[in-house]
Amino acid sequence: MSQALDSKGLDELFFRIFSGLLQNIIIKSDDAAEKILELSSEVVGKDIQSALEAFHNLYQDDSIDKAQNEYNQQVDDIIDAHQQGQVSDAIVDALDDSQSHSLADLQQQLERAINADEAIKAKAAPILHAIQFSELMHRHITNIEYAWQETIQRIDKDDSQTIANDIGQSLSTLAERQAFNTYVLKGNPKDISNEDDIDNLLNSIL
Amino acid sequence: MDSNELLTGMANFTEASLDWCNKEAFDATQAVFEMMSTFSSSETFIESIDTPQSEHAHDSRVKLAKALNDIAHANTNVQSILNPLLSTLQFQDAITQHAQGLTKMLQTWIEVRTELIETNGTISTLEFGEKLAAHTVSAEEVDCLKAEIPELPDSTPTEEDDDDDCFLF
Repeated sequence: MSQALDSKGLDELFFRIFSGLLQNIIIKSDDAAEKILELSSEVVGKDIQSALEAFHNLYQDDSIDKAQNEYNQQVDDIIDAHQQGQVSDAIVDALDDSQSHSLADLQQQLERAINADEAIKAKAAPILHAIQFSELMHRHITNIEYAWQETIQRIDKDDSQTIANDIGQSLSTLAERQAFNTYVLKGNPKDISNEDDIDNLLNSIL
Repeated sequence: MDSNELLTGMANFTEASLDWCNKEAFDATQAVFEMMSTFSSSETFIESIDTPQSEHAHDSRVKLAKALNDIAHANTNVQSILNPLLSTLQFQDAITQHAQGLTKMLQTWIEVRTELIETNGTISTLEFGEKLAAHTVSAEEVDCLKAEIPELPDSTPTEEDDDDDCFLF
């Protein structure tokens, strides 16, 4: 039997539906990435295929996010200590990047394998791009979902500008921060330090 | 900024963000297809790839999928290559369609919400569900609505669902 909804009930119902529809997109994105990875076995050699699969798995099991979070925490801790005069400038300049070694090692492995042959490079680059695209799609959809969750939960309680500012701080890619600045904050993009991941990663490999 | 400005801005941001996903899906699919075109001597396939495709052109994707199906049926040993290609094409098509539907649903929700607040009124879940269902393009989306609003009628095949047949071997 149909229920009568007030605005609060409407918001909650809509968010559940909206969230479910976004998850559908993520599932389709994952499926497409898997299929493209299958495709790669038809066009590249065993070594490249293994490297691509390892790269894909790294995204799938959240290793990159974990490494980045741990590294960011480490940086924050050192900067805090530095501000309190507990560590020297030299230590801050030489931040230990051990947490990101696994990703760097894998990038080097891919770089060696792919750059070994121009023909392989032409084949592997689109596949690598598609795998990374899937991960970035995850992030965009997750950020959209989070932004709406925050909005709906807080809109009747908090100041709208404060909500918008908080959400803006949580966004992680250049494209979405630019869009958020344009459409929500209605200002100019500023201080965007975390550049588009696909381009950065591809440039570092190819 | 008042709450309506925030909601409208958020809806526009969401649309822009989904457009970005749509464009990236198009670019990624196109790159894979161009790379794969070097492996096919089929004129139909090459012509399909070379046909300018709009990021929003459902028809051109359907045409390309049909061309791929024809090739696969004529030459079964290339199915291992064409099957993943069809999946990526289907994904690109789905995200375009879903993004358009999601944006319209957001607008519908904001309109209904504003009206409820202004009138201090209510709306039945079924009526709201039907308003959202008007913006769905696939049975899958209707099923997603039905998961939350079971009283909605069962989905009926849409034109797009019929087109999906060409994405399947």
